Amino acid sequence: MEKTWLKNKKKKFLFVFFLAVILMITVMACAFFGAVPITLRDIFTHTNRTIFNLRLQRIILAAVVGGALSVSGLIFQAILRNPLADPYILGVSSGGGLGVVIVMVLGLSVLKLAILTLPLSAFLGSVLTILLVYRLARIGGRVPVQNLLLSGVIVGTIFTNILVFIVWFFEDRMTRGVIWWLLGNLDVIEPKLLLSISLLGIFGTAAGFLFSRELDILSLGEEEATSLGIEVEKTKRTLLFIASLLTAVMVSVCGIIGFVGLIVPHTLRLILSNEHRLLILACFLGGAIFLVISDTFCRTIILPAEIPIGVITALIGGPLFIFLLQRKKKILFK
Amino acid sequence: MRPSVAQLRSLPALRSSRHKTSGHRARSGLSDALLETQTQPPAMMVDRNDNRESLNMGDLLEVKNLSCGYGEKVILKDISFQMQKGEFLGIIGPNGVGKSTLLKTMLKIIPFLKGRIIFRGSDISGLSQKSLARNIAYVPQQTQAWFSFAVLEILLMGRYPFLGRLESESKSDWEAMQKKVGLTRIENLLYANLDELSLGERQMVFITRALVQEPSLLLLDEPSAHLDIGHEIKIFDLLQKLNRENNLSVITVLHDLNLASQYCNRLVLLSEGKIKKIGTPQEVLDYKTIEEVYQTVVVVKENPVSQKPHVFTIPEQFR
Repeated sequence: MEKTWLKNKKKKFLFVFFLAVILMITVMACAFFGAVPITLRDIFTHTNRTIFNLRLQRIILAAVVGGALSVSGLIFQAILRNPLADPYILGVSSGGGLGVVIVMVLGLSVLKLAILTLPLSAFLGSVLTILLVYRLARIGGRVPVQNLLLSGVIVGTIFTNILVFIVWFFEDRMTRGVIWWLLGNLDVIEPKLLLSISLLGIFGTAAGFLFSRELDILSLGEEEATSLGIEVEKTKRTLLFIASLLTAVMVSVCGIIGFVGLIVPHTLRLILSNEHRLLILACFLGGAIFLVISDTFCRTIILPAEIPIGVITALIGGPLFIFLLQRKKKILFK
Repeated sequence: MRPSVAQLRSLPALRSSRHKTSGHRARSGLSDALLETQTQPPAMMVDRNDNRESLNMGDLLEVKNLSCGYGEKVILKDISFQMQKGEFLGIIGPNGVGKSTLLKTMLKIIPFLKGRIIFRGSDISGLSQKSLARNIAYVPQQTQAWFSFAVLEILLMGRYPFLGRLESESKSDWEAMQKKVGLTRIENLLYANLDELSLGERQMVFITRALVQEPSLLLLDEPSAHLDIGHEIKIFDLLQKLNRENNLSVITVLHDLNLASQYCNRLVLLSEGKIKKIGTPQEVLDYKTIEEVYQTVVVVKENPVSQKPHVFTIPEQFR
């Protein structure tokens, strides 16, 4: 028994290591696909250098966004003890999007300012949303999970519709349309923005990693967590802040991309275990791989057009989710 | 001819087990063996490992004028009681009277409204959640969690209050865990997944995790809910053994008055937001009190083997 346990543990570590290797290979490989084909020789002869660099930037953005959204979803699931919770259910993405749109309408998103105002407004939007959702769900000093989910769905729906209305009404002031917002896009507007976003994504994931033991215990129940010595409300607030930050920053540069925060953590929970120390690393890597591959499909399937990324993530993510649920059922009723 | 409820009550139905005469008891090897353990004095009243106790005259816990509830809704009003080290205390009372609320208040899961809870001489509102967890452990009512863990992982969570943020479990943490596994005899479950276990096994796992916290006081919320009598007795025998041999003080919320009577050396009966009665099972479980609190007709007789009071419920057709 003990031997198989240790063996499994080792296998799980190896799996995470392999994910890191696969991510690197994926990033390199996907840079060769696109509207303009690039061969290995081009790299050494410096042909199409600009296109290759632009493409690499987009791939790195996809990796960071995928990783951050997955980790964010993982954290939300653990705190809410619900495998269906993610930034979208809680309205955090919509809130972030709304923040950005309001800043755009006010004319504060001119190119130079964008580096600062876009992530900041998204972050403020997301944090205010999660605070509002949290506030609405609160009864007598405590926040029951079902209330949180319900108020999240309601607030999220309202905010999405306000967002759609603003984008439609102030069409002349918008650099991006409704489709961009609702289905997401991974074009890099500003290389400096990419750097700050990557740093924030990695910082957020590392912060989440430091809380992995709390995530384990919280995912079993809040009362138990309190009795085991966790200051539940304080820890939950910190974790909601980290998860909102991760979502917000990503929404500000690429719109609302669904399914990533739901699919990736769930898949990895089935493959690995629910122990968050490994899971959080695996989620960042897995989410990155998932979004890089999805985005490559977007760029290449219908040339020269581009499919919105949200469509692809839903088409890949949905069936995979159903397949995994079916398999889980078999394991359960074995 | 069936005896009527009134007839049964007119008989001296109950003797205190302290004055028992062995002549009246049905003798069997089993009952003698059981009696022997029953007549043992309660385990040590003073913890020899801890000299700080001397100031507080052995009081483990003191609840002073406590009011608690959820937000505006006051459930328990102005409650006071004390508990000595080594006691096995049962909290009983009708549904919704606030038995679980009282436990959760003692664990700082719910903030209390008024009063004080003093544990080993210090007010718990001044203690950090972690230091409270090193002293008081909790076995909650069984809930189904979405996310499953291996039993080993669950047990190691009991070491959380001893670990810093960047610290991982040391060898001594593992040893502490394994020692408790030996106590509750769940070695064979160690590598199983929680969702593969039966209800009884799950409960043993959570009791073991609570022990891994190395507490001096263990709080349980209906530890045998949904369990058959076999598993029920197994769990309570284990708790009694831990109480007597390992000097673990126990407070448990109980539905079943007879279970409470068998295992607890003192009972707290809650009714309408107050403590109705507090004392030994013989003192608390008298038929007048029980009928008043639970609004039903009962007869209280002595358990022939343990000589503890046993509450019989009487269906309407026999009244």
